Amino acid sequence: MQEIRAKVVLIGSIGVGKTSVVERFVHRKFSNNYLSTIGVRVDSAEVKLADAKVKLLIWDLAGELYLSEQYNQYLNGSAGAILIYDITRPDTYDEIQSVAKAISKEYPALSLVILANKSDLRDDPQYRDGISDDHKFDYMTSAKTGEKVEMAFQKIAQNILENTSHVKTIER
Amino acid sequence: MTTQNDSFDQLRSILLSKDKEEMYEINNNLRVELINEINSIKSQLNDPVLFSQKIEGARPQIIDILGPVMGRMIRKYLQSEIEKLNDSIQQSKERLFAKVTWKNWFGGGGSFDLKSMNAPRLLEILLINKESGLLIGKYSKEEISDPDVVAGMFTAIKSFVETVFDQGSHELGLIDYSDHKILLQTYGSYYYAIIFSGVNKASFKEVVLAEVGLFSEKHLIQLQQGAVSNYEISDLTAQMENHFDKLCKRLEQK
Repeated sequence: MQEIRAKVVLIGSIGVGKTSVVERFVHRKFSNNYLSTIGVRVDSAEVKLADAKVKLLIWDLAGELYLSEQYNQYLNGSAGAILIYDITRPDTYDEIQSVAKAISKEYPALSLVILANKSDLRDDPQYRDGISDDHKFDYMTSAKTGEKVEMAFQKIAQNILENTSHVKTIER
Repeated sequence: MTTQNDSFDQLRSILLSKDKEEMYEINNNLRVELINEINSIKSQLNDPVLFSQKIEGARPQIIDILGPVMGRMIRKYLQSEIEKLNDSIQQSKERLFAKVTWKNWFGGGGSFDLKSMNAPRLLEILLINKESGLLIGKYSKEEISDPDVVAGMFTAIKSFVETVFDQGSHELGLIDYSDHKILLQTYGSYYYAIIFSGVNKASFKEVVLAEVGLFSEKHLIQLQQGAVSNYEISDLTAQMENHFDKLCKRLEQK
């Protein structure tokens, strides 16, 4: 079975639920304080696919650093990016759209997956009218219920496996 | 001759008799004044209120006279005390770092060297891709949990510091935490994170960095491949284990 390992960055505005999505998927090793101090927290998770094992090094980037010089530094060497927006806040969708465009231009080989997070609120009368049906995304997830979170990480792992120019092969 | 002398004495006695009387009177008066003055001083000295009033009145003069002397004395005193303190610290240091032998170490007659407890000890070397933070290889004397994640965090911290304190070509060189130090040696597309405990001795640093340089030279092509494209990590890890284990043994023998 092939084993690979790759860096994946999580991108999204403040409060869209990036950190909660990661916590749903990985066993947390470092405190969230890192996000406020250096703007990043690195975690790892292993994704088992049909014929390969992918170890993802997940860089959770603080929303406060959005598009800063530091943000670009952290993107270096990434094999994939998960872009997350909050379905109850349409402005966060617009933001990740512009980031997706910029990344595709700067890093054309990067695998992108877009998550529409907070699916647990889609039927909430308070937010229902504000949720757009025109948004394009790969998965509608909920960090609260765990809906499709694992599926999203499997998707990015699969994409990376298919495009292994940015990953390291592990042969143990 | 005797008669002439006697005549002189008689003459002098006649001429100076009045002066003698005056002189005696003056002396008498002076003695009385002096006794009175002494008595007055005596009474002032015996009376604390009067004495303190006198001192208070003469304060500026006392300071003028005693100040420089006192200052010199204080300086001398402080100097002498600091020298004593220095000697004491030196002796304590010598005692602390001297080889301590406990002949009856729980009855076992063992001994230990405090100096060696403070010596630098190589724990781990991580070879990391500078851009992605992905681990290229590692040498572990003491296994740390998930070196992949640690390599990522080191890279994030390194990148953060270098961006915030942008100094052109400067690179973060050392992370110091309690007894643990992380020496960062950066090359073009990769860097080493050398984790050790104990004091950061220049001689230790020199030896380790020389070995790291040697390893880089020896595996230059593989390192470049590992840093920029796919790489079989197990190969380089095995070579690092082999290379740095020898170094570790050499350092322990010192």
